[in-house]
Amino acid sequence: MSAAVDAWEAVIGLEVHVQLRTASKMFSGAATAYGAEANCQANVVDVALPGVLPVVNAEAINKAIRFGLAVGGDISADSVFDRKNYFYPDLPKGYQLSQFAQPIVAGGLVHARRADGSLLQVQLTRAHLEEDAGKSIHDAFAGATGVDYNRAGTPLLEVVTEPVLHSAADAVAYLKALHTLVRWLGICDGNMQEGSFRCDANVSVRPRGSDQLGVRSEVKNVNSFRFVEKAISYEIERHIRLCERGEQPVQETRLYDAARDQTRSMRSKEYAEDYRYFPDPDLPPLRLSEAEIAAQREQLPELPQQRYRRYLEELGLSDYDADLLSTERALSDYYEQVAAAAGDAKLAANWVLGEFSAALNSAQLNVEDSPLDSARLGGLLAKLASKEINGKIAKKVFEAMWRSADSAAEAIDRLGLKKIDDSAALAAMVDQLIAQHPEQWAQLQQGQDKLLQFFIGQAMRATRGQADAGVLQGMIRDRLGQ
Amino acid sequence: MAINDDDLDKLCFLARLALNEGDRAPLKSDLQRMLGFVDSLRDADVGDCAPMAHPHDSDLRRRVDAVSSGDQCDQLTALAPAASAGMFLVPKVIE
Repeated sequence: MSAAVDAWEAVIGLEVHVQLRTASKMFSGAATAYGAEANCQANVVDVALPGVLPVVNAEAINKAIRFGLAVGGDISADSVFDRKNYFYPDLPKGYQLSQFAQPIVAGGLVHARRADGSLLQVQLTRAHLEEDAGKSIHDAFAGATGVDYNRAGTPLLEVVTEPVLHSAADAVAYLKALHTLVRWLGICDGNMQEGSFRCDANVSVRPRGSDQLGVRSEVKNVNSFRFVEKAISYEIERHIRLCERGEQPVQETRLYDAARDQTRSMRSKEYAEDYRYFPDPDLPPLRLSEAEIAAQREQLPELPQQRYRRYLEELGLSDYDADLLSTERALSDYYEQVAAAAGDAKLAANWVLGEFSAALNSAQLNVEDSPLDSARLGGLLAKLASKEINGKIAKKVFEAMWRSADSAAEAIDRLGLKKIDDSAALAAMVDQLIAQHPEQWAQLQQGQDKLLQFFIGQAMRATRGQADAGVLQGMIRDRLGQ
Repeated sequence: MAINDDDLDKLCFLARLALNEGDRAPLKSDLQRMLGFVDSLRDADVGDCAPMAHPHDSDLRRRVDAVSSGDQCDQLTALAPAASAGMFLVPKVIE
């Protein structure tokens, strides 16, 4: 099979529906919160009663502009809402308002990284605004389908790639980067279980080396990265199998069945896809001024890709740490603040990804709900960086600070862990240890250097770790006449 | 352009219309006249006009993102031929 597989190249394009995080809908003032009782968040516009008119949500437009700027796409000065006509009970108007000929964002590039760390740049075709449909519930009523319009009219940004991906793994690397980006920008909550980030994959295969596109199938609404990877892999294999047999794949829409790990045909596209798009007469074109676009540009944060590069190149973090610290905005911002307060970026990275993340995990908390704020953790790490305390004590102090509102200095005082800098007292203790362990001292004098650690260990134990190991070592070497 | 029976069948399918046999000929003739009218628009000289998506030169009105309507489930479902448990009921559709 593998020789046959090598003879074919998969071509994948993705369409992702990103639910924009707004309080109200794209064209109506109904709420968008997830999980409400059926039809409690639908109003006369959402269910398309006669005579109602759509009015556009300004915030959805702003979020689309920010996305377009973040991917370096062109923001259209003039974009148009069209009617995409089809019949289905969850679409009460009989058409979906969407942008067809003139989308708000044209082009753009998403920077992703593969699992092996290599860079993957994915060219976007466009991103356009549209409204979501309602939900059909097929299994709750005998002989009838129930329809809930709570989701109808929720703002979506549909992000479309060129057919430039060639493996299921690359498709997932792109999706993860896009998922990171939309959450980072604060335009989507990214909750895939709730359908806030849904992927359709267009898959075809062609003889390797060909520049023609094969007939594609579209896998709809896959809602986890793992299932996207499996669904695309399944489709690639299915297409290759058909082509190897000399059969032509059919252009169709397919659904992924996770339980069976296979896709099955949903509907043939040849007749259904006649959407008869035309500009919505109720909505004049959306005109955006340079000033409006500039205002959104000012609100753009440093982007994950930029932050990743800065962590690598300026802060000297490892690739692994830089990647982890530039994926989730809240953790990354927290790290930025800790690093600034600590004055040591690498130490801050170790602690934020180590002790701090472990403590969050075991308490099952998000960064935003951490009981230890970034200024206090930064203060603790500043003391560690200046060697005022050592790593072992820092961990004890960290635990105390996690459970209190103490600053690092307060926690150190309260625990009695202040470093002993009384050198006379330390010297007396070193002399006492030498007297207590004459055999070890003799061996050390004869050159068994590993016993140096024995004496330092004893001294640290006696001072509960509050002595400075470097100072102790100097005192012992003094007494050895070194 | 002439409307033939296949065109009419396709339009009826797209519009989900079930025509009586007797309505076919008059509808075909109406559609023919509409297409004739559209054809006549092609004769207009629009050389100086940029293509436009809307006849009025107006800006799209935008609203602030705020929730302005509450729970209207009872009123809305009361308008429906069938409803249950807060849902609109339609003949079973499943793909």
